[in-house]
Parts: sequence; structure tokens; C-alpha cells
Amino acid sequence: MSVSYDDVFGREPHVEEQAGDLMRLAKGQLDGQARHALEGHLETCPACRLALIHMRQAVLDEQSAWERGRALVKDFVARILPGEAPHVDALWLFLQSKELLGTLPVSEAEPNAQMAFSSPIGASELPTVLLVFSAVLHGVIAEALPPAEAVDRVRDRAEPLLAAHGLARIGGADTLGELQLLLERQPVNRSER
Amino acid sequence: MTLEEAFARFKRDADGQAFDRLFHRVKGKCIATLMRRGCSPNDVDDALQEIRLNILQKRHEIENVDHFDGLACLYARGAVNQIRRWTKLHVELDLVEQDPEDPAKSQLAGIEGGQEADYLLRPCMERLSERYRIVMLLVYWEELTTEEAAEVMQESASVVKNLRDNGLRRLRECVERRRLSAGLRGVGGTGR
Repeated sequence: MSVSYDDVFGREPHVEEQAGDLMRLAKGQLDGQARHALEGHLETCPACRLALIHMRQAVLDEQSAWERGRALVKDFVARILPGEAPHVDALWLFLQSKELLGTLPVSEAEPNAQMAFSSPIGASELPTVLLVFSAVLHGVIAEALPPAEAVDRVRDRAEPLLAAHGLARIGGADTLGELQLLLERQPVNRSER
Repeated sequence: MTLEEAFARFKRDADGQAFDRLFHRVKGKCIATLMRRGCSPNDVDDALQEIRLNILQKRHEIENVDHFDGLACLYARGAVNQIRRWTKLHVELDLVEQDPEDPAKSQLAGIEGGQEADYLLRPCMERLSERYRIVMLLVYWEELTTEEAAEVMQESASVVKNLRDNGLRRLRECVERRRLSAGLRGVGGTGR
């Protein structure tokens, strides 16, 4: 269409300058004078109001995908390790808050995850299992990989870890393969509005 | 490498590893935006590559990590703009037949490639007053809800809803007139 959006919503470079504060506001992390100043600017700038709405939606979309992913992993872990469910929540929150998912190899992330608990987990298999599954889920959600590809990517590293805890196979079935089937049956990488 | 170290290295040296560390955090948001707005999984990689290049070009202007994240979101929206079409508006105006199995596959009646819909709709859109056009853009191009469009326009939701409904009615009438004068047949679908 020939409608000039710029006439109404200003020029993109102007919004780009505000992008940092807009993102912090969208995440609920902008306080004090900076927030006050930005809110004043938003009163007069439709282009930034529009950008803020898109940023808010992106934040919500991602949170929603991760929430569904977390629920999937929690269900799956509960099938393997009954009674460990409370730890799943704590570990998941820790991983998210520290942005560990996908940024560290599993072997480096595990000691950090252990430190999340007030007392050491000791011989519990949970951190290993959850980190392996989280790595798969990260591939599916954050990188839009098909479940099979996400599993393939971590399999070499994950299988020895799972095997060390006797978890490479559950009831004769391939554990990672089971997770892959679960993700394929209940996709988590698309969010609907 | 901490986030702060990564940002410093990215700013100073355009270090690839540092960039990956920063981009990794915001990639999920970009993908969520791309896929919700109709980007196919096959197109996601290309769109992400474009977002990365745009951010790299702005390296010297980026002030902090939040600025990096915000720009990534803006560029994701820009990438969507390049693949997005007026599909929803075409459906509302009966300019296309929608495949019930796959709403993304909408077929134009008669002429392929969106030319007929564009031929019918473009002059009608241009005839709308500015407020109507803005509402149409916000609701059917940006795909905002009525409430969100109201927030952008600083109007009440009911005003925006009226503008949208009246705008649609005007467009529909105009499209029908143009269709008749050009001797084109409608899709014969929902018929409003």
C-alpha cells in the first residue's frame, strides 16, 4: 500500500535509539527516572508505543514457550525420578535466571546447577537428567530445531552422562528418543495469540 | 565470559564469540516473533541471519545489552515485514479463498500472485481517511488487537473498533464497485 507509515509513526532510527529502554520497560526492568522519562516520551510518540507493544509480545511469547517446555520436562522427569519434582522447579528457575541454558556445555553447567541448592544433591541424578533435557529443549525452543535434530546435537555428550546414572535407557527404551517423541507429539516452539 | 565482557568485546573488536553469547540470549524472542507472525521454520534461519547482520552494522551505536536486545526485536519485526502479506484483510474482504486445512495457503480467485487483490484494494485503501488507514495498518498489517491499536492511537478501544468496522465496510463497498466495473468475479465465499 502507498500509505506512508513513517508519516504517522516516525522514522525507524528514532525508535532504534530508544530500543534499549523500551526493551527494559517491556521486561519490567526499567525504574526510577529513566522509566519516568520514557513514559513521558511515549505519551507523544506513537512509533515507540508501537515498538513497545511488539517487544512486550516477544517477551511474552518467549516466556510462554519456555513455560510449556518446562512443564513438558517436569512431566518427563517425574516419570523417571518420582518424588524429585520440587527440585525441578528450583533448578529450572536457576537455569533461567543465570541464562545457563545453551550458553555453557552440559559438563560446565552441572556444578553451577548443584550450587543452586542450599544442600548438595549428592548422588541425585536430577541435575544431569534435567540439564540434558534442557539442552534438547533449548534447541527446540530457542533455536527452532526439529526435535530429532536437537536430540542428535546433544546425544554424543548426553548419553555418557545418562549412562553413568543408569538412565540412558528407560524400561528398555532410548531415553532421548522418548523425549524426542514427546516433543514431536506436543510441539512447544510455536506460540499462539 | 560474562555478559559485560561479551558486550565489551563485541563493541571493541566485533568478536564473533562475544556476539554469539549476546545474540543467543535474544534469539528465542526473535524466533517467537518470526513464527507467530507467519515465518516458516525454513525461513527462520534466513531471517535470523538478516537480524544478525543488521545488529553488526549498528555495533558502534549500541549502548548496552538491553539496547542490543531491543534492536534484535525491532529487526525481527522488520524481517517479518518483508514476508508478511495482507492475507487477513484479503480474507475479511472476500478477496481470497482460504484453505480450511491450512489458513496460510489462501488462493486468489482468478489471477495468481496477489495482483487482483492488490489491484482492487490499493486505490480503496488510498481513499480512506488517515485515521481509518492507520487502524487498518495497525490491525491488519501489524496484527495488533483492538486494545493494542487503541494504546498506540491513544483512543478508547470502542473508538478503534468503530474505525475498524467502518473502515472495513468502506473498503468492502469500494472493492465491490471496482470489481463490478472491471468485470471481475468474486470468490463467492462468505459473502458479507
